[in-house]
Amino acid sequence: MQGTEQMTQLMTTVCPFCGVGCGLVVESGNAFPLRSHPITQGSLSLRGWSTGELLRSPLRVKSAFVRSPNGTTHPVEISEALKLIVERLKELRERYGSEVIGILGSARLTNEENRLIRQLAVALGTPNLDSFQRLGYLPFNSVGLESLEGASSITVLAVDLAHRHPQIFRRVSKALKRGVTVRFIDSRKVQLASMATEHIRPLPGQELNSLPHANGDGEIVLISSEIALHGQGAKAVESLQGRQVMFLTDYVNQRGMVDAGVRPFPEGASAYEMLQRTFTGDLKALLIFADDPFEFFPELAKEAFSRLEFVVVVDSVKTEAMKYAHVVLPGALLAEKEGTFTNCEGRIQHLEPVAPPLAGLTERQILEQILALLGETPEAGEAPPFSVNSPSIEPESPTDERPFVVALDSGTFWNNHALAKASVTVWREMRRPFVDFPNGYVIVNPEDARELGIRMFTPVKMESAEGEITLPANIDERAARGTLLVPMFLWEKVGKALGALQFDASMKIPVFRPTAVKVVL
Amino acid sequence: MEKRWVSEGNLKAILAELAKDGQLIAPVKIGDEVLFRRVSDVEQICPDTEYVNSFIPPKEFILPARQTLLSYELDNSRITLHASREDLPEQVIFGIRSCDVAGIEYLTKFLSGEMFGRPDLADELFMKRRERLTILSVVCQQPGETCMCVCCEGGPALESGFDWQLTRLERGWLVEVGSEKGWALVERFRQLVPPAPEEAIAEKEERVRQVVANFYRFSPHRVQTMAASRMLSKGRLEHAFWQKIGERCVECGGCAFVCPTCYCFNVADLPVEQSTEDDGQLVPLVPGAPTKIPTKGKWERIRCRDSCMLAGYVRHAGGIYPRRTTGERCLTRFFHKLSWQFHFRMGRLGCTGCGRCIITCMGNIGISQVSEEMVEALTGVPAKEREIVLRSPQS
Amino acid sequence: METKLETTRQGDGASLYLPKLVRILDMQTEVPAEAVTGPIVNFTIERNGIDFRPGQFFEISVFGAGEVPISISSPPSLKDKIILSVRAAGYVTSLLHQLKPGDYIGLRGPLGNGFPMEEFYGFDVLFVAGGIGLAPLRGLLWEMLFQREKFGRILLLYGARTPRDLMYQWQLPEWEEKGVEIHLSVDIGDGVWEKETHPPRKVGVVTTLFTDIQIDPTKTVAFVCGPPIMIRFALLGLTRDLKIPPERCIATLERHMKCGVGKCGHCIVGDKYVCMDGPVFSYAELSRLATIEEPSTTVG
Repeated sequence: MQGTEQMTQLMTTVCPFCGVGCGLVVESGNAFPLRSHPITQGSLSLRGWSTGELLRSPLRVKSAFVRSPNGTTHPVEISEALKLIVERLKELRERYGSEVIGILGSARLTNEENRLIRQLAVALGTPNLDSFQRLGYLPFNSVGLESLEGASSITVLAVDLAHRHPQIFRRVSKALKRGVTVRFIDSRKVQLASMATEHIRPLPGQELNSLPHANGDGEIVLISSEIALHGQGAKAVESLQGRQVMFLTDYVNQRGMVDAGVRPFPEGASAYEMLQRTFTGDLKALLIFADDPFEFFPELAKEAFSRLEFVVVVDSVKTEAMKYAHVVLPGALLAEKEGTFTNCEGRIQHLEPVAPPLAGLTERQILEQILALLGETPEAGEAPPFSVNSPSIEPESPTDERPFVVALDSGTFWNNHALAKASVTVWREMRRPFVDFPNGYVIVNPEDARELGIRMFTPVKMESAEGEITLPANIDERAARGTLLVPMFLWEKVGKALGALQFDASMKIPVFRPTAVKVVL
Repeated sequence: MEKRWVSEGNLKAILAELAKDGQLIAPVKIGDEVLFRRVSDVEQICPDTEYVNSFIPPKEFILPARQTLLSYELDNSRITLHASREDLPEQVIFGIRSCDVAGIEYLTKFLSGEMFGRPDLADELFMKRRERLTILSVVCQQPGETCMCVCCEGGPALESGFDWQLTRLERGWLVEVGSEKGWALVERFRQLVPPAPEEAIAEKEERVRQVVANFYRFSPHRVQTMAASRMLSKGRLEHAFWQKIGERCVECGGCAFVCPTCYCFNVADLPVEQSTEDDGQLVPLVPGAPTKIPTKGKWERIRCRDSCMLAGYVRHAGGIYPRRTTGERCLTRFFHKLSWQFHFRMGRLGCTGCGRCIITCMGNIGISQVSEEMVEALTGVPAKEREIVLRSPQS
Repeated sequence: METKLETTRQGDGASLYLPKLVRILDMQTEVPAEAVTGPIVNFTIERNGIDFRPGQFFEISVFGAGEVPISISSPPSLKDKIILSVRAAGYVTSLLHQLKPGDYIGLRGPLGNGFPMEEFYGFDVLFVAGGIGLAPLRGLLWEMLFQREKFGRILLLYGARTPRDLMYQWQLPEWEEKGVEIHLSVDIGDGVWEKETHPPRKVGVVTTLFTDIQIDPTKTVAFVCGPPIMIRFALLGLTRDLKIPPERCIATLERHMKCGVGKCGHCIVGDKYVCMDGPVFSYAELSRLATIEEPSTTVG
């Protein structure tokens, strides 16, 4: 319970999940929304409500350890671990050159920490700096949330707001009540679809073609990572020039992380490319700060990590990557830190800790100490502006031979989020697809299912021009006729099998290109 | 029962005395937020004229968002079980409003097992905290932006549920004593709490009457709760109506977490450390749980706040969802809050009109909106334009 | 195996939620993993003087995993043991199956209302069971066999998905000997099972067995358990076709539960708490509940 000296203080922090950044108060270890916070306004998503739980989750990393060649781990003093890390890095640099080192930053870390991560890349002399949490990010000068109050029309491009960004759903829902025109452009029939003034259903990957002409003022466009993950990122940036856009970031400090310069150097490898380079021996070491390649590419990561000579993972919660790490250091949650973060509006907010870091130190301190041991404090330098000059990846359209289009349903995106797994109630909700469909699933439209004689769990074989894969059917009106949706956690498996997983050079991210398939039962 | 009276100064003195043991909980205003906290100095208490209610419901003090039920250790063939025990001191909560008092009464009737006629199944963790809580409520004389206690038998003043019910008068406060504990407190401060003069009692009645009358005449937040209750109880709303309501639910759980009468909880065996017994075959139920039978480790069986609006709440093993859509779960929630059937079992309506769900709901389907939409659906009379403009945290 | 147990029970703690430690005496596979509804294992556990009524259930703790409600499959008159038939349906039950005889589990209860039995002395009894639904009914049936003379005819209509999913097949001869008339059905035959003639059987859902029996509805009480859809159709058939009045058609519901003692709210159906007001309900009560909760489609 509160000590009386804290009577005049509210222990507030930010929800560490999506990029909207709701401010909340933590009382007796439990999170509650702030009524007066301009973003929160008294509401939180289920994830926000679980913020307090993370502080004492069994998945918290409590101490540092090292892993010996035979796989056994043993605890180690943090100072010792840091020395070991610096020694190994220097050694690798000596032997192979600094380009064999890769660094992953995080949208779960503060701006200051991300800047230090960039500094570290410069200090080590490696151009391989990125984060898997940059996937789907698009650079826009975002408008503020209040602009949604004054918008004359709102266009929502391909995002399941109710599940991904409930605070935005709330404002759009209010706008609808006020009589504002809300245009929802998305093939899926999700909650917003039935409420919107207009529901336009282009095929996945073709949403930008349905953009209404810019009508000058009053229109706000809401867009999220889903467009970019389907390969249309560059085209989106181009098409939305001159419009009022809010890019809804998926992670609390995705915007801040990218602004702080955690993104590929022109001559360096992006996050995905780093994994690929382990196969050629061009990447031998990976320093991971609050990121987890296994969340997105479990198969590739497994292969890649077994080829790495040196892996360091610093995180506040246990991740799959830690199972391969040679050194693990405990990090801290945002709730345990002082620093700043930048939400999807571009608004920079200051954070104060509501609790001391569980293991006694934060990533900031770890980074500062590593830099000190390296003996260098370089200028981080300005990250070059995001240039989006390569063409986007065009989606496939259905043909007579292949009348269906397979695409992603990122509505289930949160399933693999490291923090979601650390909360009892959130995990209970998030684990449902894994236990309801232990062999995975593909979402089939009910009318298509009826026509094809598909029932729940019927194996559906999908054949593209390049390959095939079979998944049990999940019949849900969410999927439009002629589309087959796969959940985000299967994107690697399905993407590889069908040839849909491609590298978008403009964004330097892997994407899932909507692919035409025929269904064989 | 004889009513009492206390002067402003003497009330402060009483509170100061109670605060000395460090167990006085009172509303504190920090910035624009009002919340109940332990106070050591009465000056820290926010005057009742400067707040309507806290956003965090005071049920947190007797039914916290998370509690440990028991813990156990496994050490190969040795199992050690520990029942959870909380040694909480006596607490006094001052400044709590009638809607929350009614909520606590509802929770007590339920968690004591009284509703089932099974006092042997009383929830001890709750009852202990409840028994050690003294309730000094303060009657509201101004409704908040989303308040509707008047429509829900939840205020502004109550007949029972409190130890003391205080009403601010022109001079001093009327003290209505509602329990043995309340009388014991009167005894303790006998000199400071004399019997109330007739005019004081009359003044209180008049003030409350005025608050209620103003609410009915002027408040845009009048809700036809009783009409909605009737319709709900008779099952007169169609599936399609609930599907439309459910469309707006984002499954945040907020309505249950802020509600003074919600008690639903989830139970989970949480490992103190992430388990190493993991063969990856099963999907664990909670973070860090083993996927093969463990032989070593420490666990806590915890209960944590839950909401019937969440899909996982009703998930049956094997992936069966009796209430698969949010619409069906909305029906369940409102049925629990507003139906006669539950009113009969619980002794009162499930909603006390605190208005918090209306603030927190992301989809604008708090109790007042849905009640009005129910009435509109069945009578064709449009729901009043209900633009909830939250200018400030309290009116 | 030597097992040391220590339980600190503190009177004013959460003893409502504190389980007793009970040893597993034996485990037998009842339905194999390859069957549709498998694996189902019969757990025989220590009785330790616990008393219960048929139709009640226990909250079973699997240490390290969690707690689940399991209905009792043995009768109170079977003095020295308790038998629970458990399907590995989810996380906790799958881990329960990994235990061995000699291991300990936690037990809270007995909980729930149990079947009405004494008020039906002198009646004919009709059991209609589907799949694992026979497990809770077996406790009642077996108890009636301990008091066989107090009841008239006893009939059992039992259906499962396939022949391998039929439970307690080894016990059927013993029941027949004690005067239980048994009829079986499977949804999908295997070409062999349906060729046998005894007990009488057919391929089809269990309600198709209704046409094979003659009962006197004025003195028959029916007990039903099985998957939700089966219960619904069985109750319909019992009242509409066999003309048994709804107050004498009694079902037991299997619902997701957490606390089992009417506190957490997970088992609420309509205005009823299945763990306290049930799990046994008459058709009359269930019909009333159905007007409150809309039936929903399920996953799979």
